[in-house]
Amino acid sequence: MALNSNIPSGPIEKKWENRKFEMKLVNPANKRKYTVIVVGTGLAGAGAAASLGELGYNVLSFCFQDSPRRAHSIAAQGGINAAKNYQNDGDSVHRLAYDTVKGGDYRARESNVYRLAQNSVSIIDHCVALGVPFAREYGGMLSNRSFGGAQVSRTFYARGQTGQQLLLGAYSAMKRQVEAGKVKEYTRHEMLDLIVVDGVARGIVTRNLITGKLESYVGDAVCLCTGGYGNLYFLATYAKGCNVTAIWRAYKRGAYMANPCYTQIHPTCIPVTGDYQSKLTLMSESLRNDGRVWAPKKAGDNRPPNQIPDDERDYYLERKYPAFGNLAPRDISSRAAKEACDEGRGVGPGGRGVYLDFRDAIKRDGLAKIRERYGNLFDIYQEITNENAYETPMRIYPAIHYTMGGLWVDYNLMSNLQGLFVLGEANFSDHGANRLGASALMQGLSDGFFIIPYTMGGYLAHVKPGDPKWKIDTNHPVVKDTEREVQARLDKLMAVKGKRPVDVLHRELGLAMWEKCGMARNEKGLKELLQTIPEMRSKFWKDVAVTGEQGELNQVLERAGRVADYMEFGELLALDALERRESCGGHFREESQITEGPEKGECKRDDENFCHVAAWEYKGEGNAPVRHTEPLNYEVFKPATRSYK
Amino acid sequence: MNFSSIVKKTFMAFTGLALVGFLVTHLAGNLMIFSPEKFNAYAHMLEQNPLLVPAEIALLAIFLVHIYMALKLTAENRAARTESYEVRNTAGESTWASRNMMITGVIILFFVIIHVKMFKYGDKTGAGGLWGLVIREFKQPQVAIFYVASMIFMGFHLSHAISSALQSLGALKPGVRPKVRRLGAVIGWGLAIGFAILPLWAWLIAKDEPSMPNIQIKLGAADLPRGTSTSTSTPAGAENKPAAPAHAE
Amino acid sequence: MNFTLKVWRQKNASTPGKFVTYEAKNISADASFLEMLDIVNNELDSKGEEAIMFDHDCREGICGMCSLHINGLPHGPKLQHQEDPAPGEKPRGRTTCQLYMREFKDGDTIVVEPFRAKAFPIIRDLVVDRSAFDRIMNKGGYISVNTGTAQDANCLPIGKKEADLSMDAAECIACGACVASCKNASAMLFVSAKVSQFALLPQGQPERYKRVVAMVDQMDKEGFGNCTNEGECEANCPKQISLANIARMNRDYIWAKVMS
Ligand SMILES: Cc1cc2nc3c(=O)[nH]c(=O)nc-3n(C[C@H](O)[C@H](O)[C@H](O)COP(=O)(O)OP(=O)(O)OC[C@H]3O[C@@H](n4cnc5c(N)ncnc54)[C@H](O)[C@@H]3O)c2cc1C
Ligand code: HEM
Ligand code: HEM
Ligand code: SF4
Ligand code: F3S
Ligand code: FES
Repeated sequence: MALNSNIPSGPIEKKWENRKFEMKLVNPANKRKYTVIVVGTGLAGAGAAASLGELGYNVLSFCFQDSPRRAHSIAAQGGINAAKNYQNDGDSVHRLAYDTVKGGDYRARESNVYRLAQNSVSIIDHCVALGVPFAREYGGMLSNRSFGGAQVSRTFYARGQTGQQLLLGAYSAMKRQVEAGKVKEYTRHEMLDLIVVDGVARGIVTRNLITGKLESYVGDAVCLCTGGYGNLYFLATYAKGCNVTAIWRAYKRGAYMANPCYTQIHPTCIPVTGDYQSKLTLMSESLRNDGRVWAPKKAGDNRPPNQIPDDERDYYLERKYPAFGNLAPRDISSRAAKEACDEGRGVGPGGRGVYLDFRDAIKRDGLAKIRERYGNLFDIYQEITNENAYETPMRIYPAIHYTMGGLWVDYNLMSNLQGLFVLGEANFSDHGANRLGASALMQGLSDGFFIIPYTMGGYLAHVKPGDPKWKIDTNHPVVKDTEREVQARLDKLMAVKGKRPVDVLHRELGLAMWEKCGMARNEKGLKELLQTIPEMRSKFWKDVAVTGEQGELNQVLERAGRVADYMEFGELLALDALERRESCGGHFREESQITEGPEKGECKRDDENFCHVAAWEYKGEGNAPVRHTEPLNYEVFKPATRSYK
Repeated sequence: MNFSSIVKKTFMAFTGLALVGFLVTHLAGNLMIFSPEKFNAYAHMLEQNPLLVPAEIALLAIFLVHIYMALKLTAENRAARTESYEVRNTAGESTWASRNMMITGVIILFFVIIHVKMFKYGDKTGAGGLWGLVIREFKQPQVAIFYVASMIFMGFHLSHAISSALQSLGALKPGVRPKVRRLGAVIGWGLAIGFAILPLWAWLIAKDEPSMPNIQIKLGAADLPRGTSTSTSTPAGAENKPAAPAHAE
Repeated sequence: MNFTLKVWRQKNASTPGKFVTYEAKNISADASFLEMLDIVNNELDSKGEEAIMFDHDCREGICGMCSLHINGLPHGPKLQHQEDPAPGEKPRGRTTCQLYMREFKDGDTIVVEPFRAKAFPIIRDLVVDRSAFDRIMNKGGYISVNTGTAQDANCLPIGKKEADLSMDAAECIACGACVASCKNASAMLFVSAKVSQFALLPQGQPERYKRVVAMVDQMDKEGFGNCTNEGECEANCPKQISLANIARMNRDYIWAKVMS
C-alpha cells in the first residue's frame, strides 16, 4: 500500500483551514451514536477524550495507572512553547515552525509542523481558561523563559512542573465530560491488542489489572495516545510503566511503525550509580547556564574532583565548541560526554559520568545567588546521590528521554489502518529526527484538543453507525479471536516458570541497546545487536520468572508482557537504525560524520537518499518487515546544514 | 438529619466557641470568690435576671448540640478507618490534645454534671450562702482534687479547641495558623488554670467557714422552700455597701 | 546494608491480610526505598514466590502513584534539614519514591503497610484503590469551558501573588498521604487544594460556590472522615499543601450554604 500523507492543498498557512473546510461534518444530533475508544490519558489522550466528549461523541478512555491524572506527561518540567510573541522579540508562527523543522534536522513533515505552530497559540489560551496556573509577571501577564534551539523567549511554564499543570488541566476537562456522562473511564486497564475488523480498527482487548480478566471494547474508531517507548533502554527518564505494547500490537495488526530509531538523549541526567538503579532522573538543562562541564585529562584519574588542578581538567565543550561552549545543543553535548567516557576519562561509579562544576559560578556570583537559581535542583541531586553539589561538582551523564519515532500517521493523524488514530508521543510525530525542548507538550495538546476533534469528525462522517454491516459487538468472531490470541500469549508467559526476574532480563536488553544503538551507532554494532536481540528473546521465553496468577493484580505479569514486546520491538529499532545510513538529529551514525572543516565530527545528513520517513510494515512472525518510505517535501523551509558552531 | 462534614464542623465550632464564651464570663464571675460579698451578690444578681432561664436553656442546647455533633463526628471518624495501622507515628503536628478531644470532652461532661449538681442544686442555705457552699465543698480534698484534675483535662480540650474552631470556620489566613495555634493554647490553658486556682485557693488558703468573720447569715432561708429563696446571704461586714436588696416575696 | 522488612501481605480485598517478614540483604545506601523493594521482589521471583505488589510509576515524586506507610508515616520518615535553614523554612516534602535507604540504620526493622482508610480499600498487598479522589474530581474539579472558546490568554491578567498561591495549591499530586496520615482518614487537604486552586483564580469564580459544595458532598459520600484540624496531613504532604486551603474551603463552603 502506498503511503498517502494526505496533505491538504494550498499555501502552507492555509492548509489546515482548507482541510477543516473540506472535511465532512457529522450532524450534531448523530454524534451521540458514535463511540470512540481513546487509549491513554496523557496530554494527547486526555485532551482527545475531553474535546471529543464536548462535541457529543461517546468516549471510552483507558489508562493503566490508577487515575488518568498520573499519565507520564505529568513528569515534564521545563515548559511549553507557543508562538504568542508576548515578549515582542520577533516570534511568529512561521518562526516556531522553522525552529521546529530545523531542530528536527529536516526530517519532519513540514505541513504538520506548521499546523502545530498555528495551534500553539490556542493551546495557551485554552489552558489558561482551564485554570492552569502559569507563571506570571507582577503586572499579571504571562511570563516566558528561553529554551534550547530558539533565539526567542516563547516557553510558558508553571514552576518546574509544567507537565503536571497542563496534564491536570486536560484531565480536568476530561473529568467534566465524565460527569456529563460523555466519557467513561477505565483505569488500571492495559491495552494488550487491537481489534481490526475488515481492515478497520474497531476496538481493543484490555486486561483489567485488578481482576486480571480480559475485557474487550469496540467502537467506531480507536485513538492510541500511549506515549513513548524509551523504556526499551531500561534506564531512562520515563515512568516505569511506559511501554511500547499498545503501538507494537497495532503494528502487528498492520499499522506501520515509522522511524523507530529516532530517540532523544538528554545530556544532563544523574548518572547511573549501581545496578540496583531502576530509572534515571533528569536535571534541568538550565544548569548549563552557570555550570561548566569537564572531565579529567588523564584516563583513570580518580582523585576527588576538587583535588584535580585546573590544568589537568578538560573543559571539553568549551574547547570543542568555543562559540556555544557549555550551551551546545543536546545531541552534541551528549555525544561529547560519551566520547570522554569512552576514552576512560569518565568519573564516578562505572566511569560513566562527567562533572558539571559550579565552583566558578559560585566564586563569581556568590553561593546565595546560585542557591536561589538552582537550589531546588541541588536538593534533588543531594537526595539522590547524597553529595553536596555546592561543594563538589555534580556528576551528569546523558540518558534516554524521548522517542520521536512511533506509528505512522497521515496529516489527519490517522494511521494506514482505517479508523486507527495515533496522537502525542506515540505517533511518529512532528519532531523529525530530534525534538526541541518544550515542544512535546505542545504537540500532545495540539493533537488532542485541536486536531482530533476535527479529523475524527471527518472520518466518522463516512461511517454509518446504525448500519448492520458496520455494527459489531464484543461477540464478533474477530473480537473473540483476538482475545484468544492475547490469552494464549499470557498463558505462555505464565507457563515459562523460569528463574530469572523480568527486571534483570530487561536490564540486559536495555544495556545492549544503549551500547550499540544509543548515542552513537555503527553498522558493525547494529549488526551484532540484530544477532543478540533474538538470542535474548529466546532466553527470555525460556528463563523468565513470572510468579503469581493471572486472575488477580499481578505486576510481575504486567512487566513481563511489556518486556516481551520490547524484546521484539528492539529488533525493529535496530533494523531501522541500520537501514538509515545517514546521521540526523538524535540518530548518529559514526560512518556518516563530517570529516573535515569546522564541523568535523558532526552529523552528516544525506538528503539525497534519506530525506524520507521510513515506515515499517509487519509481515508476520518470522518474516522480515518491509520498509516503506514517505518522501519529505520542503516547500517553505529549505533543508540546510544544521550548524551550532 | 444528615449534615455534611463541614456543616457539622461549623456547628461544632460555633457551639464550642459559645461554650468558651460562657467559660470566660463564668470565670470572671467566679473570680469574685476572693470576695464573698461580691461573689454572693453577683450570684444573686444573676438569679434575679429574668433572662437567666432562657440563657440556661440556650446553654444546655449548646452543650447538647456540641455533644451530639462530637459523638457523630467521632463515630464517623472511627468508621473512616476500619483497619488500624500496626505502627503509627506523627510528623510532629498533631498533639495529645487534638487526638483525644473526645476523651477530654467526656471528662468535661462528667465534670459538669457533678459540678452543676454540687453547686447549682447544692444546699446554698448554709453559712456563707453559695460562697460558703463552694468553700465547704472545696475544703474536702477529694473535691478540690477532682476539680483540679478536671481542669487539666479541660485545659487540653481547650488548648486545641480555640484555634481549631477558627480553622473550622475558615477564619485563618495563610501563615497565621501557627500563631493562632499558640494563642489558642495560651487562652485555653489560661482559662483552665484560672478555674483551677479557685478550688486550690479555697482548699489551701481560704479561711474556714467558722472563722469567717465577715459573713453573717442575716436571712436564714432554711424555712423557705428550695428554689424560691433568692437572697440567701447578705454580707453584713460590708458597712458602706448596701446589702443586697431583700427580695419582696 | 541489611534490613528486616515487616510487610503487609493481603491477597485481595476480601481476604484478611497479615505481616510477613523478609530480609533485604546487601542493599546500597544510595538505593531508593522502591529499588530496595525491587531487589527483594527479584529474589522472590527467582525463588518462585509471589512478589510484593506496590504502586509506583514516575519514581521522581510527581505522579503521585507511590504510596506506602513506612514505620508509621505515609511516604516514610520526613526529611530533616540538611544545614542551617532560612528562618521559617520547612524541609522539603517527598514521596516514597524519593526516600533513600541511607536514611535508615543498618540492621533496622522496617514496617511497611498500605495506606489505610475505608475510602481507600486494599486491592492487594500494598496497593490501594484511590479512585474516590477521581470521583470527587468528577463533581467539580474543573472549570467549565469548551475547547476553542477561550479568549487571548493575556486578556485576563492575574496578579503574581494570586497566581503563586493558586500554584501552591495546584501542586497536589493526589497521592493520598493526607488521608493516610490523618487520624480521621479525612480527605480535606486534597479536596481543599483543588477547590483553592480555582477559588484563587478569576477563571474559577463563576462556579466557585457550586464547586465547593459538590466536591465536599462527594467527599463525604466516599466515606472519608471529618477533619478535626490535626495538621498531620500538611506535615506529611509531599507537596506541603497548606492547611490554609482547608480554612479557605471551609469559608467558601459555609458562605455557599449561607447564601443558598
Ligand atoms: C522527565 C521528562 C521531562 C520532560 N519535559 C518536557 C518539557 O519540559 N517540555 C516538553 O514539551 N516535553 C517534555 N517531555 C516530553 C513530554 O512529557 C512527553 O513527550 C509527552 O508528555 C507525552 O504525552 P502523551 O500524551 O503522548 O503520552 P503520556 O503522557 O506518556 O501518556 C501515555 C498514556 O497512555 C497510557 N498507556 C500507555 N500504554 C498503555 C497501554 N498499553 N494500555 C493502556 N494505556 C496505556 C498511559 O496510562 C498514559 O495515560 C519530558 C519528558 C520526560 C520523560
Ligand atoms: C465547656 C465545655 C466545652 C468547651 C468550651 C468546648 C469547646 C470546644 C471547641 C471550641 C471545639 C473546637 C471545635 C472545632 O474544631 O470546630 C471543641 C471540639 C470538640 N469538643 Fe468540645 N467543648 C466543651 C465540651 C465538650 C464536651 C462535653 C464534649 C463531649 C462530650 C466535647 C467534645 C468535643 C470534641 C470531640 C471535639 C472535637 C471535634 C472537632 O474538632 O471537630 N466538648 N470543643
Ligand atoms: C473550678 C471552678 C468553678 C467554680 C468555683 C464554679 C462555680 C459555680 C457555681 C457557684 C455555680 C452555681 C451558680 C448558681 O447556681 O447560681 C456554677 C454553675 C455552673 N457552672 Fe461552674 N464553676 C467552676 C467551673 C466550671 C466549669 C469549668 C464549667 C464548665 C465546664 C462550669 C459550668 C457550670 C455550669 C454549666 C453551671 C450552671 C449554670 C446555670 O445553669 O446557671 N463551671 N459554677
Ligand atoms: S494534599 Fe498532599 S498529601 Fe494530600 S493528596 Fe495532595 S499531595 Fe498528597
Ligand atoms: S490531619 Fe486530618 S484532621 Fe484535618 S487537618 Fe489534616 S485532615
Ligand atoms: S512513583 Fe511517582 S510519585 Fe512516587
